[in-house]
Amino acid sequence: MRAALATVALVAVAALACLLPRLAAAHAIGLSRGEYRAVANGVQAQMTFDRAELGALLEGSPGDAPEAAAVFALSSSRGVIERRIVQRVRIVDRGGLPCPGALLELGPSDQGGVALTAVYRCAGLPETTSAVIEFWDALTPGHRHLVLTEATSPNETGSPSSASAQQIVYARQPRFTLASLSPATTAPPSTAPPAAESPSLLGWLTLGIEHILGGYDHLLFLLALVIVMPVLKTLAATVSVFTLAHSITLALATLGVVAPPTSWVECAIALSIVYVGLENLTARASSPRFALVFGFGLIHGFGFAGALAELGLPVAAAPTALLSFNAGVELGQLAVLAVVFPLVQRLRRAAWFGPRAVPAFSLATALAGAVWFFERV
Amino acid sequence: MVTSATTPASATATGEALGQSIDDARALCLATVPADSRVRSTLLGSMAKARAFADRPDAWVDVGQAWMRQLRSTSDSGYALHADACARVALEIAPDQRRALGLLAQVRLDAHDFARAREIAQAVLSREPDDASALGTSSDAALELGDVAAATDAAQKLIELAPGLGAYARASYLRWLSGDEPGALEMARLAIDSAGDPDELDARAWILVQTAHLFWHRGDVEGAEAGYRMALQVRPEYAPALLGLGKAAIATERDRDAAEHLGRALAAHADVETAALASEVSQRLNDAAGAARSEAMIEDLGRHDRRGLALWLANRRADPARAIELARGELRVRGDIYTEDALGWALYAGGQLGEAEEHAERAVRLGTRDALLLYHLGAIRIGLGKVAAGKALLEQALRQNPRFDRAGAADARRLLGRVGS
Repeated sequence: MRAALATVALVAVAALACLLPRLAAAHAIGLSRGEYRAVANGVQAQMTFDRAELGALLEGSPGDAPEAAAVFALSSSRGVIERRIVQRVRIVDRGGLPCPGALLELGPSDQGGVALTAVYRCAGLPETTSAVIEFWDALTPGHRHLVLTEATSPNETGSPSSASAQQIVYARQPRFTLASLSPATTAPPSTAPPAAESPSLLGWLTLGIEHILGGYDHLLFLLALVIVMPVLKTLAATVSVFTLAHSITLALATLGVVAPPTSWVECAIALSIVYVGLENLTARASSPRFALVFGFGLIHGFGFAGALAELGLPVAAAPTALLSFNAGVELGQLAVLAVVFPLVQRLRRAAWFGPRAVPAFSLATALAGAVWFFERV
Repeated sequence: MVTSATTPASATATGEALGQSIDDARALCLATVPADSRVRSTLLGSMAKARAFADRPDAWVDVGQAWMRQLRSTSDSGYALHADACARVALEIAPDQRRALGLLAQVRLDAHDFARAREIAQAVLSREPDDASALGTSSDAALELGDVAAATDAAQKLIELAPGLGAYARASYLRWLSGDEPGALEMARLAIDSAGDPDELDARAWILVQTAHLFWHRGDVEGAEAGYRMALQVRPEYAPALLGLGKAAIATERDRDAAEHLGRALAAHADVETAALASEVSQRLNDAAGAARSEAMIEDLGRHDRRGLALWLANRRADPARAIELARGELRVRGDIYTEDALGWALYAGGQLGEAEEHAERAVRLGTRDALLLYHLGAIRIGLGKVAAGKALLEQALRQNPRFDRAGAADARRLLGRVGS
């Protein structure tokens, strides 16, 4: 009961912290939003700012005044907003000339902020243009502007379709990319967020280690091999075969040579665990299982490739990132074996280990694999 | 002045007025990493992991923690928004996730929203009393709110649970606040010994600066300078160390050196105290343009540092009404001794000596060995006609640290001369 109450209290605090308006006393850093859309004669922008922050620009600081008064004050201060905000967004046309900005509308937003609509008139935009925001000195230090760009282009049937992209700009990163909306000249930008930056080689190595340490299915497969393999030499050879196999498919899949569906791969990995668990219950398990391990290693390699793909492997750095990630997987694997193998060897001396622990663990392994299989189907 | 365990400047998001969605929060959390970021690889690695394991709150908290490190290594308080967004994403996945709440509490603390930071940290501690991160945040927030006893309890528990740099540094500062200089130095040494992680250069530089401050307050300018220089070896262009060197140069009347150190400090991380000292030095060097530039910065930076701006205005006896208003506003959210001192000094500048004394007395209530606090109370008491008490305080201030503040020390001597020493 007490735990439940504590959880409720935590949730309430978190919700309060996230949802309630901030105390005026705390130091507020502004966050604003701008939706930029290319139109026939330039760019149209719809921006939303915090009322207090924008109000601080104006004499009498209407930010703390009742809403109606604040809106009135803002309406009477269009010139200031136009000069300090609208005209501080620099967009240039195809010829490199600036597109002058004008404030069209100003008023309260739905969420109690201030919404403004501006237009930047251009003779013509290049296919993609880099806009620069320079209104930082009018706002609180540290201000962030959430930019949503939208472009329209004809789809396969000739009717217009639009796509959007989100970017964060601030004083040290003031540029954002705006695709031209000219249907004749451009393809829409991707709906995906801007290309993610990639970690360093050490970062890929770390991610490889983290992946194997968090990959319970891969680890269970390895442990199922270890538990029935008392000779270190045989184990080393088996793990090498597994490594060779999964390195091959990891490379092939990452470089786009083969791309089996992820769902199949995940199911096959689960089945490999079922199989190795069941085979452990038979006499064959104690002999080297190189062919079996190689085959299953190929399947697990596709699994690693899936994880690597989710991390957003950079095309340019693919070979080195691949090697680093794979090295990380191996290091993680070896670290686990370095801990587990001596432990298992010690337990192996006990009389109950062979007749009881090995079958129980193997059965549990097979069951876990079966559960994963049904989850993944 | 020794600053507390929290970073000096910062912020709170105002995204609510914009109806900030969870998609917005994700975009903020995964924003482009500046090319020159000191924690670039940590940020990129944690972001890659958050993209890959988007349903794991821990992955998002890791990104938020990396943004907090980015915040602490730059002067851009806006990075708090990114950390805040990461905490929101994590809490969206798991509303009671402890690490996410801990991150949120840190963001609030950094935003000087001390009451809420403490509230969140306490909520975490009510479920897990041994959460080291929440204990640290709780201690820092309690201290800023003026609850020294609670801050000390939390720091003591932290030492027992997780002895290390964070725990010892807090203990050192708390001991110094309560007048226990040897204890503060002992704890500082333990903190320095614990600061061996090569990935935590900021933390190492920070504790070296905190220790140098201890020497500064004892009047050992050379000892303090050595500490500031050690911090700069660990982290070149570390603003607090450069500020310390600037103050030491001012104290020893090396104004050109001071101008150089303070200029570099301002370039690395601008704050009101540094800009005010830079302005003072520029004036002494007859650099009117430099002084004007620094003064313009003070007004701008004062938007995030009401206490610093209030002190600056009070020192110049310029616009005391505004200084009082700023300090009163700060005291509403921050009840620590330095905010009490700032209000006392602003009231003194405004001629409201009775109330000024009340606040200045509260500022020295813990027995803190800071000559500036003693000077302020001494000057106020002399102004009230309590000559003997005021004189004793001024003498104590000058004995403790004869060069605590060039203008302040000169004024203390002038007052002592006037009342007869």
